[in-house]
Amino acid sequence: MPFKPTDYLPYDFANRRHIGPSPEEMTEMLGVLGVDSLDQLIDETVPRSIRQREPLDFGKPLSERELLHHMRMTAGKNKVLVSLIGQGYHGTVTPPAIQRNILENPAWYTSYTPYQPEISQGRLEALLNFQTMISDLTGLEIANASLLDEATACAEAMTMAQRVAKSKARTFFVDRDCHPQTIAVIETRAAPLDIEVIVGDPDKMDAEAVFGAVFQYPGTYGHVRDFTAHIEALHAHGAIGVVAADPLALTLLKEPGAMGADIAVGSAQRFGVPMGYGGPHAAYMACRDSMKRAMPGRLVGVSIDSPGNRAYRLALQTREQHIRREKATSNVCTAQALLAVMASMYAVFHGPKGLKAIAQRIHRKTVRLARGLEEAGFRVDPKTFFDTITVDVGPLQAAVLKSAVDEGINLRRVGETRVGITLDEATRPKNIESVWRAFGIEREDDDFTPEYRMPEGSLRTSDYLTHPVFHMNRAETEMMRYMRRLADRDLALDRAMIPLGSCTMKLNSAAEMMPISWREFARLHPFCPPDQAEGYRELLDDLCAKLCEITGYDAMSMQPNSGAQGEYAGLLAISAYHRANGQGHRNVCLIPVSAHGTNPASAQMVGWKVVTVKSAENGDIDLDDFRAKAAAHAENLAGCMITYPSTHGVFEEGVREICDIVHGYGGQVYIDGANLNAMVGLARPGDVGGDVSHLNLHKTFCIPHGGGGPGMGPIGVKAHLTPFLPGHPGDRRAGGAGFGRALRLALDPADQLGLYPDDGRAGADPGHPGRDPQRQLYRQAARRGVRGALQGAGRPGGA
Amino acid sequence: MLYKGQAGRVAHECILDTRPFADSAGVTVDDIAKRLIDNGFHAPTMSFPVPGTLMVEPTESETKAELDRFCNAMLAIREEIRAIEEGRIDPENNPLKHAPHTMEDLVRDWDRPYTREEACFPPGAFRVDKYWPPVNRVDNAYGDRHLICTCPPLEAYSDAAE
Repeated sequence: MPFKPTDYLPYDFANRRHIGPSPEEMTEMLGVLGVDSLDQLIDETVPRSIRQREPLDFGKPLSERELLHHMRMTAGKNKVLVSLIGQGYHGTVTPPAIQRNILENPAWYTSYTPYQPEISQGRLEALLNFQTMISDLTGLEIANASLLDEATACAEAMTMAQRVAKSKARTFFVDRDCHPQTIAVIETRAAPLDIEVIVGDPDKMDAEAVFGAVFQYPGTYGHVRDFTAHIEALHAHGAIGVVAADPLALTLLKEPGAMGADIAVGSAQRFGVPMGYGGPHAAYMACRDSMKRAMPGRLVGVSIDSPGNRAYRLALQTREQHIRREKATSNVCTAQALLAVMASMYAVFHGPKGLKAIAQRIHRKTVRLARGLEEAGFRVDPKTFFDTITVDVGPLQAAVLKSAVDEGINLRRVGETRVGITLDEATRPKNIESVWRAFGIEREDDDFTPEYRMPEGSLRTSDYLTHPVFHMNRAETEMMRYMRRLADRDLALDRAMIPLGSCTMKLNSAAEMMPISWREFARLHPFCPPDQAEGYRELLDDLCAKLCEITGYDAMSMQPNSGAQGEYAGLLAISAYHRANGQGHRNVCLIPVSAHGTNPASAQMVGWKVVTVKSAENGDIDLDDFRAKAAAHAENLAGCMITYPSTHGVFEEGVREICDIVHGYGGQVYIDGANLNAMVGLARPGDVGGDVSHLNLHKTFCIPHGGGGPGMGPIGVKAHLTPFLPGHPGDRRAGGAGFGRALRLALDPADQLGLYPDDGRAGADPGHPGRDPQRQLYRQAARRGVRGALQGAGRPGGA
Repeated sequence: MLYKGQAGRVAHECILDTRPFADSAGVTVDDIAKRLIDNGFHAPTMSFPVPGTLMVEPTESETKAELDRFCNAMLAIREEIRAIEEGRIDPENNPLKHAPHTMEDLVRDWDRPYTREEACFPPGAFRVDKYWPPVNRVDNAYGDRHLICTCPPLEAYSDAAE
């Protein structure tokens, strides 16, 4: 029998692999519904008034193989140098056992947030290990199971300090040795809350004038200082001491708890999680026991089950936004569970001895590097340090940085005349020799005499990681079986359908996950020179253009690293827009009673008042109530937050009218993109009347949930809001300048990246990690030739 | 089904109203969610956006067989609720209230008014590839009253077993 070559396309990923039901099954299912075709079903479901006029057209879909080839080509455009830039991001060695058994294992990356504890005991134990590790290393009683990144963790610590401080001051002090991105995020977060931020020298801090202070430990330029006296002074005035600490340094250095700190925050990135051009990584927060109820983020606790056996589950959930709404401790919802699990396994894998040895080796390498520079006549600062030094080279800065790049090394530009160098676990002797050559020194790294240059008084004397889990036999067989045992306790998408409404637990295909392990994507430092990240740039430009097409918006910002962060960034954009139009008094936000808890929590964070709108009998937003409340607050109406299709799972017919009402009173419409999966290719939030939306890439666009993170929540806006997007050169928050790319990167809910499928509906394209946080794309620009337009728009220091 | 659009259709997800079962059989949304574990499923979204209800979103990646398995599980749970409504089984001592069931349950003395077979292999559950939850229903309030957020010492492990 003859056959047509198109009878069966074995490599058609979109239709044969991503979509579950086969064509025959679909026919059968449509029959049950009494419709002839998918089109008829859609016509009966999606109101004609909101349908998009033209179908999406991204050209012929690629097969999986073609796609991976395309990704290989794109990856090849990134240049992998050895980055010794530091600033909160470090090279690290991911143990292959963890890479294969956790990061690349669907039992871990396809699981959902552990709200159902009975089927989540494995990842809850791994996260409890994370909390134990952080609690031990920081010397504080309670640690949560991960925040989004160090900079936002510092901002969370600031608002937490304000909640618990006895001091009624309105000012927060920030150590000038904090990472620049941390300072920028704190300033952004403080502004709408009427908190004044002072950045300065801790020795000159006026403890009486502040409700709290954050200190970096070790400092961003390498200084190791003991903050005991500063924290004592704060306590004398009822203020809170926060220490942002590198957890690896804490294996050698006095822990924040021993300095009297109330809160410690930081990033667990260098515990085996690749830099990935900025993320995702797990940040941590730990605090005193007395403050636990004020702490944001997910907290794993030990409880019992019905016969009284030990069982883990999420504790103190009443603090969180899904219960407390606008009164919650934070809008934090997504965590970085998968990355926290990796970091905790790294600690289990190495144990306290291994971690200490790693830290000591890093320190000794840094001493050798410093000695070589000093003996050649360079001035190295500080005199005592952990892993970071700064060298003043006067007018030679540009020359040194360039010759370092020629040697295959990225160093950090500090001010006008200095160069920063941070070593890590992965630094090899030949890298140290390359750095020396960049400074014009020919020398061999062959002196392995141990010498320490850490301040005597700051050395750690207490134990850590004493629990047996950190002392198990470290043979790989044992590690492999431990990870397998934990995974087997859980029910993830690799075992069964997870029919969670609103959460969109769809396939995270193997092809989509593969590129994240590639060195060209994994090993880029977020502050590496832009010409080393051309591959990332291409991916992001392409993704932004496609997301604009899918949503009907004009520009995208890739900064927000979760849906809630997207909400926050979107509302900040609206707020800035009102201020720019002399309407800064507008502070009322209408939110339907059925909204997700993050909506009111985010509105509260930008300083708005939340007015709740009722639901009608049929579940739709009560239009009469909406109209009445909009009219009642007409003068002060900042906007509304709605979800479409509604959280009730219905395409409401009245959506356009709602948008018109809000616009009529001068407000802006925020459409929560949590349910975008129902709309892609059929309707566009930008056409329906939205001014800004976030898109949960971890729902609609195939980023895995990872047991509660990573997430990713880029926002799309209409043209009139583009000047107010984070990262835009017109953004006044960039005012400080001088930190170049770093500051700009950090403007808002910080930097993070996820895995991006390029395509919408079919989800057919593989994802990849990372993004350029300052990138955004104008649709018009895209048509003209993206590269040039973006280089003009995105150039650091252009503000 | 709690809410529908004008033509009687729902979008990509729908809310199942399970609140009437609280009155008719004393069965809560929690009981249904935990019983679904015995059937081999993660529960749908609970109590959001409407308290006491379940919200189901079957994504495009799921096959018809898996959707059918889920429907069968839900229908079987409805029958278990009906048994309580009609007084055929005790309102406190039944598979819904004791869910989820562990392998430990199987080897314990069994004095319940339903069989081990009904407990552990309800419709939807695989026989060979059965997912066994490692613990019974977790007491959330107990843990908040006795807050422990770091790994408990080894002695605590043996205490718990006693």
